[in-house]
Order: sequence, then C-alpha cells, then structure tokens
Amino acid sequence: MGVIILDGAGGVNKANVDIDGHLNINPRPPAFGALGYYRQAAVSGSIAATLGPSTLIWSCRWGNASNLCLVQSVRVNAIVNGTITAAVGVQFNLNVLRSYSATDSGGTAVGVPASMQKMRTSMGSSLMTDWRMPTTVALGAGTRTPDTNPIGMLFGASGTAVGTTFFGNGAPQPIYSRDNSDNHPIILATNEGLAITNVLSGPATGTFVLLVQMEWGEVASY
Amino acid sequence: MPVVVQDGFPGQGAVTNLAGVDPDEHLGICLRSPAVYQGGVYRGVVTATFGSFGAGTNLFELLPVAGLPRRLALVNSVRAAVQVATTITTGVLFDLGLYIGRNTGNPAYIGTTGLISPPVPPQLQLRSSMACSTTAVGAGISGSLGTDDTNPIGRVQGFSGTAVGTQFFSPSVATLYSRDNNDNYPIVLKSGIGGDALGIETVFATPATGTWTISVAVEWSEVLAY
Repeated sequence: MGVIILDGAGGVNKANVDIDGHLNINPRPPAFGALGYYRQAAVSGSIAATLGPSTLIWSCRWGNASNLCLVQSVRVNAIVNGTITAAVGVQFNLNVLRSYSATDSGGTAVGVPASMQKMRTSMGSSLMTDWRMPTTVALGAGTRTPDTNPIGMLFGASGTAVGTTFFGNGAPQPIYSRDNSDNHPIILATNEGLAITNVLSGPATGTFVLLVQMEWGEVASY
Repeated sequence: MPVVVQDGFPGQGAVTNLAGVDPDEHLGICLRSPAVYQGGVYRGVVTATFGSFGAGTNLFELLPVAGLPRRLALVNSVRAAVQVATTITTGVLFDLGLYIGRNTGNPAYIGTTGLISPPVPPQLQLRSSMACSTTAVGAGISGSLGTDDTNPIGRVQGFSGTAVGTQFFSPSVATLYSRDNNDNYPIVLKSGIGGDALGIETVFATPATGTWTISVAVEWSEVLAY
C-alpha cells in the first residue's frame, strides 16, 4: 500500500515536499505516553584515590516490570580535589548488568527524585529503581550478573594538582552515546542496569570527585 | 510500494505524486526543526563579569515569558566558557550546574544584567523573517525562577586558575547540554506563570579575590506546540 498524507476534511495534502521532492520531516524520539525522557548529573563525595582495581563506582538499576528504559547516553568525568602525589593511568568501564535480585549498596542512593529531572514538566516521574554514587569509597555490588566484557570505556590519567580532570575535558565524556539517530539504544528491561567500574589501581594519595551524567527515556514498548 | 504525497483532491481530477523516490525506491527526506509558526529559532551569547559568589548562585537564566503563540521554548544547546578577568589570588575548583526550575512565578524581567533577549529586536533570530524572541535570556535575572530540580541536568568541572586569561575549563568552551542526535527529546520549557526556567549556577564558592568573565552560548526555539 502506498502512504498518502492527507487531512481529513478536504483531502488536502498535509505533507510538505520541497522543490527537489524531499519530504520534510521532524524526527521525534520513541513515544513515551505518560512516561517521559530524563537527564541527570550527579557527583560523588571526595573519593579516596586509593581505590583498588575493578571497583564499582556507579550503578543504576531498572526494576520496573511493565516498561523499558532506553539509555541515550552516559557521560563521565572526574576531577582532583585533594592533591595526588604521583599520577597514575585511569580506566573506567561501562557494563550492562542483568538479572538483578538485590540492589547495590553503599555510597549515596541518589535515585531520581519524584517530579524532577524531566525534559518536560508534563512528563511523569521517573520509574528508575536505583541510581547510586560513591561517597568516599567504592560501592558494594548487589546480586546481579555483569556482562563479561564492557560496552564502553574511557582512558585517562589522574594528574596530580587540584583541578586536574582525568579525561582532559571539563565536560563529562561519553562512555556511551548513540552515534546516530537510528542506532539502537541500550534498552534496560526488568531488573537490568548499568555499572561503571574503576579498572586500574588508584594513586596512593589524594582524592577526586566523580561526575556521572545520563540521559534516558522510559517507554511502554520499543 | 511507493510513498504517495499527493497534490490536489482525491476524486476531483488528476493528482500528482510530489514525493521524490530514487531508483532504489528510497524516499528523499529533509530534516527540519519543529514548526515555529509565529515564533522562531534563536541563538545568542551572554557575557558578564563577576567576582566573589557563594555556592548555588544563579549566573545565567533562560526564562520563557508568557504569551501566545509562544507557549514553549525548546532548548537545543547550552555551552559556557569562563576565564580570569583580573588576577585571582588563590585558584579554586569551579563547577557549573545546569538546572531546570519548575513552577515559576511572575516571569518578569527582574534584574537584567547582561540581558540579551529581549528587548532589542530584531536580533538573535536565525532568520530575519522570524518573530522577535519573547524569552528572557541573560545573566543576573533574579526572582520568580521557580524551584530547581534536586540534581542538575548537566554539569561541568573546572578550576579557576589565577592569571588573567586563564581558562576555567578545558577545552575553553564546555558543553552543559546539547542534543546528541536529532531524535533526542529537547529540553522543553513552558512559558508564563507556573512555567519553567533554565539556569546555570555555581556549585562551589567562587574565588575570594579577583574577577572572572563568563560567556554562555545558548540556542533555543519558541514554538506553539511540540
């Protein structure tokens, strides 16, 4: 069947086609109904830089049984806020978590506050189950299964002086972002989530502040 | 089967297919921004010089003012750059947070330091034929900005430095918000009383001495519906 875009009353063409025959369109995100699209940036406390390797420094859990979480981007930054004596290399990994049965522990359960972080006030409150940032030490892993390999990573260096950013940029850097509009987003179903792990041993001294910024949608189907 | 974008009236004589389909039957499309009707699309830079502030101080605001046919402001991007204007004695951590304020009060132009939009038409439109903006965009707009969300929707981390000309962020222009792709939902702000505002705030206390200059580049559109 062909597609004909007409208005109901007079049968007039409603679509605007330019002089080269190109149909003008305005892209929209997947339909969200009573749910919505959200964006949140949250920071840790002053994390002791002496983190061990493979330590959990951020996670979120999607526990809703009726809807899906479409992750558009996860961005990360870190800045030295207590002098580090000797700089070390930094690697952060992003992993998908599956089959959550117990939420991660420790740190601050930032969550997504009701009626906030919405891209439009008329959207519904977020249904995110848990969003967790460290205070001064790593988080504790709950019961869930991370994929064997990460889906994103960032390389950097700690630097030493207060104010040094780990990834050489004041703005948080994408550890995951859709490259194009038609890239399939990360879709979190019931009891799935995401985690960022500090892969390498941290420096022997000093402290830093971690920033995680995520944009996502919550939809009934995809 | 081909797509038909029809010209004319069905059943009332010949109609013409206006859609351009290539030899592989791909429909040619052209991406456009949301319809602006009697509004427009705008882009501007606010620059202001400040000194010592406490944490949580509003530095920049974008506040849609009530009035049809501009019910909504759609924000496409917000970027900021900061540099030392006069010598700072001791450098400090300098983060900026981008917040949505909800349920604004009377959206009057209160305290208009560095205000770039309005009231000087016709400027900032990306096309001269667009209407003048009805959004208050500037530094130091105060009062009736609603209640901020608990967490920012964007944040950048930097350090003030001390010498004149030192950039607070690396690279110098830091992105607080930008749609990654053209199907990402924009920040949608409702105009008028009970509406929304967008603000950039200091996260920490700013340097105790010296002054610094902030420039904020913002692109937004004003539309009837979205």
